[in-house]
Amino acid sequence: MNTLVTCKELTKTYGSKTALNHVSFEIESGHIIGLLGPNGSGKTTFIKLLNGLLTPTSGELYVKKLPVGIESKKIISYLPDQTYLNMNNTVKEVLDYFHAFYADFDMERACQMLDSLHISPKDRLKAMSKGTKEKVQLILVMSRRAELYVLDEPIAGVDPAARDYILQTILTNYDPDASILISTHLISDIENILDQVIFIKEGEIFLQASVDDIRMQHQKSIDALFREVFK
Amino acid sequence: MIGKLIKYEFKHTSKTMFTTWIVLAAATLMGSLALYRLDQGNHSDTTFSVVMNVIMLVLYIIALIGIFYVDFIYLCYHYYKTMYSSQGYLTHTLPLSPAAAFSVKIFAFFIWMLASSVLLVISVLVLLNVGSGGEFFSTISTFMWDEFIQSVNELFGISAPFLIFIFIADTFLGILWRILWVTTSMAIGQLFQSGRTGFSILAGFCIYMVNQVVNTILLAASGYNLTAFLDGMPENLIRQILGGSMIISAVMLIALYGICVYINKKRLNLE
Repeated sequence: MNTLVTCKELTKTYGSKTALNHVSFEIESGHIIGLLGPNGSGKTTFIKLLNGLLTPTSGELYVKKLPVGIESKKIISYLPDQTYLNMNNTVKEVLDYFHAFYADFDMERACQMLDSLHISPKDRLKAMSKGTKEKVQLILVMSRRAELYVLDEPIAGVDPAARDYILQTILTNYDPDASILISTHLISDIENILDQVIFIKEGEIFLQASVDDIRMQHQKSIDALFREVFK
Repeated sequence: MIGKLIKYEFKHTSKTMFTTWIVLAAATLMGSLALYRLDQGNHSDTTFSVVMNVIMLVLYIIALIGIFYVDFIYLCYHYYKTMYSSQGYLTHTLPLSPAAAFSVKIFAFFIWMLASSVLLVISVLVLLNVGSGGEFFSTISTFMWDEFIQSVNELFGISAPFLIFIFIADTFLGILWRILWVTTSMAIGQLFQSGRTGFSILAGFCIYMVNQVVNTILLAASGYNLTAFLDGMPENLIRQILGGSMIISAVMLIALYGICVYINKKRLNLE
């Protein structure tokens, strides 16, 4: 196992509000990790710091022992919690864009996934439903052969059928040596695919453990423990 | 990688830019036709047709000014959308340095605005040519050009090529200044948690004031005064003012570029 992400005493404040407070932990390769916490707990802030969209107030953050930068962006495939594509583009245009900029983008895999969903590459994004747009974004992200997939709320706001498809896509399209960091507060839907969890509460790490250990020690599901911790 | 980003930057903005240029071409055609008909005016023309031609000329002037501002505002909007709004998530997660991503956007912005400016000048020249019965360029190329060189020498004590160089350099610097003025204001505005638009406008106002103060100090330091101007300024004073003004503009541009790169690299805040 290699250490993919290392954060030491990571702090991020917005004015007087502390979003992350001296957070330290590591993420190793080959795991599906749930970054779990209620709204406003600091999940998205951490993910944005990891992707270089925010700069830390203090502390250190490394991806494969390198600071967040060009090299880390090459190996992280990021799905934000919002639509971030140019809505005037067609699916084909965004596929070409990803193919041009990411050396690890697998066009064949992307086309297969689109085909299985009956999404035409000629379709324009602005003409699609919200759920279909999210699926296209997920396809783009999961078509990269990245070392770390960072998915921010991938199942929020979509119907149960779409959730199943999204989870299935995640499970079937990542390299076993890669890691997936999934941020969500919809625990019950994803609990079965996780093998590690990080509970984040008011900007601090409350718990980091393997799913098996939690079930053994607490004799509870992750969802039940989450509800107990964050009630 | 930078080449690819340049390609996509132009591709994503080309549709709107070309559309405005087609409108400019149509407006130029309309203005030329109106001017030609007014120039060829004969007694059979009704008041209505004269008024229509004047209205068409006024519309041409509005289109001329409007297109420049539409292009500039559209490119500002595109820049904001792809740097600090939803599409900024994609821009800033591409495997590129923040300085490279910013520089490419500024480069494309500059080239589009330069091309728009050139097309606007061409449009005006076409109209002048129509207004002079098709003799504008031939007049310019012979008599007026010689007279222009002589007048510049007599009035300012500098050569015409030098003045033209100053004019072109000043146009380039002027376009770059406007672009960096807006992008720096946006970069400063996004540092705040709320009221980003308001803080961007405030930052823009402050940058503008700093630029004005610096230029005024430079002008005063160079010994400029109205009496000297009316009496005819010595050659070296004109060179000092023009050269000094360009140096100050260049220093300001470098400072604004540095601020933008620093903020995008060290203080990016895509909340």
